[in-house]
Amino acid sequence: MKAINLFLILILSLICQPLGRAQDQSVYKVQMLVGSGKNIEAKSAVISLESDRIKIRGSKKPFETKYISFTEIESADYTFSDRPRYTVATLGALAFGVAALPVFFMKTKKNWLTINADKNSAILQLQSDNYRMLLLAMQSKGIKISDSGNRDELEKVQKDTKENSEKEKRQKKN
Amino acid sequence: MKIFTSLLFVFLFVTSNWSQNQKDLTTAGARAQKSVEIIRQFAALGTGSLPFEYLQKAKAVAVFPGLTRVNILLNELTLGNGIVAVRSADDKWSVPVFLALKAQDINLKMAGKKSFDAVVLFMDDESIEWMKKGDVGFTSNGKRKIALGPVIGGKGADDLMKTAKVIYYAFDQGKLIDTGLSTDSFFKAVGILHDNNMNKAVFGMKTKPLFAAPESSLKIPAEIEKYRTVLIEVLPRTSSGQNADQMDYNKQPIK
Repeated sequence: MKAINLFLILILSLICQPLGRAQDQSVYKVQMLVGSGKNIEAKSAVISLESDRIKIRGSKKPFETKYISFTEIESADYTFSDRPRYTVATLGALAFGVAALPVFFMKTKKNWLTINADKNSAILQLQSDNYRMLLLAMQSKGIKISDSGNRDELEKVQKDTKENSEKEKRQKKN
Repeated sequence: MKIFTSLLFVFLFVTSNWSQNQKDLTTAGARAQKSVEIIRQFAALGTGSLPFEYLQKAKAVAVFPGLTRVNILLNELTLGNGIVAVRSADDKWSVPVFLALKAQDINLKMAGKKSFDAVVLFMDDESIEWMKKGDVGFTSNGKRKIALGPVIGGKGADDLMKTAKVIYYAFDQGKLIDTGLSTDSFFKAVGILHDNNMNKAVFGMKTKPLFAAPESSLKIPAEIEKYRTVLIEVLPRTSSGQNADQMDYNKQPIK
């Protein structure tokens, strides 16, 4: 009898496994920026889209599960940064000399999603193998996301605009 | 005896060529079939999605199923074969033609292997001319850029589409991924070449004359014709030639 029970449990677990995997398809792994004291830490989390809200659940404790209702979202902004690997390149240059020179030209792409909501906001670092599907899935739920492009270029443009406006103000004063 | 030996050699030569040709035809059919599946996966992203909008606007659609990426000692090589159809001014699709893709880059990985599918969209006539000439090299310098197609609208997508005449979408098991054919890296080079061997086996001529050949002079195998059929099916146009993006589509949810 025990053998039959064990056999049944085994069969059930085998049947349930693909169902579990199928449910995982709408779950996306991300890194969430969380403020702890003066520092900002990136914590592993999973984001899932429910019928009317976004659920952000931490992979490790302590991490409060965050819910952001679709109607609450004021704006969502996608940006990416594309920076050379200076740290790796410098370490490589110290270890391997000139042979590590190509690493200075190699870039790492990081994808970011900022969700601004009425009460809750979130800054997420997205993974390269799922961020495109996540953005499409969010948009299909009616969330308007804007692609702001390269974060560094955006910051440069904002800085230049600010400097220009300050210059104009100074000139007007003179 | 000499005559018998000569006849045997001729027989062996003919049968080996015939079997090679049969093998190429089977490979071509399988490649077209896989490409059809990938176009359907693309359509499943939803007719209201930005990738689908670009698919509608593309002047030529190439699919490279099962591109293989190999990393060996900091070198990254991507190799594979595909199929392309070009849309004419009168809204018809050309005979599907076989292409090859080769890409080279450097990567910190010492060893590794990955497989993915790519849909390459040629967005204007100039980019189609590059492809028709063959041996088209895409690099980070100059105007010959190939970029990862945007998924959502905004400033970033607009800026990218101003500079890239050729965009691509990469798929892994039907899901959009961010994997590199983009020529944004200093060492990256991507070549879209003619697959002359396959075109010779299927149509009896090399790629360049094939692009110029009238359709009536070609015998298109049914399995290869399916690629063109799926493009007509997925990207319908009205009889008046109205662009598909002006049509009223029912937005489909993402699966």
